[in-house]
Amino acid sequence: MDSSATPRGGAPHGAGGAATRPVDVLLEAARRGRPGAFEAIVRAHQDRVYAFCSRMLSDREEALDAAQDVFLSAYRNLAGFRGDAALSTWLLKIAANRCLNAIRKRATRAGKETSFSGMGGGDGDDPSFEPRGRDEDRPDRIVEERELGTILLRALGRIDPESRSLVLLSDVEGLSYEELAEAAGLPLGTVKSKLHRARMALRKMLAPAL
Amino acid sequence: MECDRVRALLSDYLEETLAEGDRAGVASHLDGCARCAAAAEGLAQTLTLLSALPRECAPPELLNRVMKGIAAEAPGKRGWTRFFTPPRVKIPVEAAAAVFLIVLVYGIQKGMPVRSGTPEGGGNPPAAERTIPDASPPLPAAVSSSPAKTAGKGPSTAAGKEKAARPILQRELSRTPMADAAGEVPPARSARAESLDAGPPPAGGKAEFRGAAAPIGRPAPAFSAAPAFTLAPAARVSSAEETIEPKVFAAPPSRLFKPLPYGRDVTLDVTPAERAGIEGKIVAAAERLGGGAHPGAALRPESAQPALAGTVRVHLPAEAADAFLDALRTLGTIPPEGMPAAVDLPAGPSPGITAYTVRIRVR
Repeated sequence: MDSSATPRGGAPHGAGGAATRPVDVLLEAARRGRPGAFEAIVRAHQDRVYAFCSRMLSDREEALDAAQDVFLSAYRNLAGFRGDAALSTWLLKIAANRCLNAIRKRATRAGKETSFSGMGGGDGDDPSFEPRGRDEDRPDRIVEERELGTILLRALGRIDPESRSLVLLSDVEGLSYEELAEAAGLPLGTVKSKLHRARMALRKMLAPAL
Repeated sequence: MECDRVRALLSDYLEETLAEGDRAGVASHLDGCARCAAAAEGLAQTLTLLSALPRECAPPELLNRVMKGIAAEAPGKRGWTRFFTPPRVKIPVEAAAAVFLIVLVYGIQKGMPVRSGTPEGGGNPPAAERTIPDASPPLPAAVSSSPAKTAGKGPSTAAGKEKAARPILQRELSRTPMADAAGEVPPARSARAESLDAGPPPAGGKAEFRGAAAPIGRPAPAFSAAPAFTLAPAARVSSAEETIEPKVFAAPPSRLFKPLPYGRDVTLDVTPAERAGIEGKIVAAAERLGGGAHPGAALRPESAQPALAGTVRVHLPAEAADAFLDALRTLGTIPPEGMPAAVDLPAGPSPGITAYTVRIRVR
């Protein structure tokens, strides 16, 4: 039910193993239409997927919808999952795409431009970098927050969605650079540079509180 | 190592993925640069905070919603909708459906359905059909097409005519106009020049061509623009002398500014007593000669108003054109002004096929 229930086969690292891993047995049973098999998969991964969606979208209902879509999409495409990556990596990749789509739709609805051009150049430690947004999102106001976790989540919400996705997948979920590149569909070097810029931007936003 | 370079390598430095030389360079720089050291320390704290973020548990309804969604996608229920859910399937399916609908509508409008009983059996001349107004004035009389003379040239009986006409029809359908013109046509005077001469036919009666001479100052009838490159019918080969009649060739007039030829108009006068069912008799006569009704005629309610005039369009093998006039005379009267002009000019949707528009008048 919780994160500790994640099977070893679904762990981000060390996913390679024999074909008789429990997760493989579950997958094969789910492909054959066993109703309990996919339920077990959902139970094992729902916390991880939901937490990722929640941090990406910063909205409980949207996160719930996104997580539901992730599992339904996985169920429809079970036959296409060949087990090259860990099941959790595959689910998080689906979740990242689903959340990015939701953010784009949200931006379209609101008619806002959500690009963060300040993140695009330099190494993110540019002294001229000033996060744009509401006044209460500025670093000097963030300092007033008591909990670092809350500050960090708010800072995460201030970086562009693609970089946020990379930071969450890498530094929270523990995906490797190669898995990140495969999930994001970007070259390895691009992923590393984007991730580094996002981290440095987060560091700059957190600096008053640290 | 400069500050910018060091800061670009801080992530790799903290993850210990730097090469030994770079790692030593960054370390030595951090020892001497307080600002970069502070940046490295802040980045390390950020990474630590990220990895220590508390994991949020999924609400209980997530599992229920997922399992309900899966139940709703049971194979029986998603059998139809799966064709419309993934874009990679939905887009081609919808595109194919759109193309199918376009072709279907186009085919219906063009009359693509198979026409039974029509000699050509395939191609439809809708453009030509549209150029023939039903209210056109009576056509000028033929310059020299004597019904008596033409009637004597075909087979003597209807059955004989049909037998003779069907093989010819098949042969004519398999030929193209270009093949005819290239293979058998000698250079000769134009059809219009020939027709304007209006002189006596050459000796031996071999030159059979009589062109349609449109009256000067009046618009030419539609069929006068018919291409005149089709040769004299093969039945005119003299079996005794085994010589082929001299052919008359004229370049077809431009179709750019003239209506396409469709067929010959012929007027049939009938009495009110003969009017009922006359359309069917005309079609039956055409069918006996190897032809049939034009599909447009078949669509009309036959004899819905028997007291009124009507129109019947039929297709015939070119060889049966004269015999068809004879058959019409058994059904009614063809007035002099109602005779088709120049029956030996091709007039039909394709070479070897003659089309007649029989206009029925009640007298």
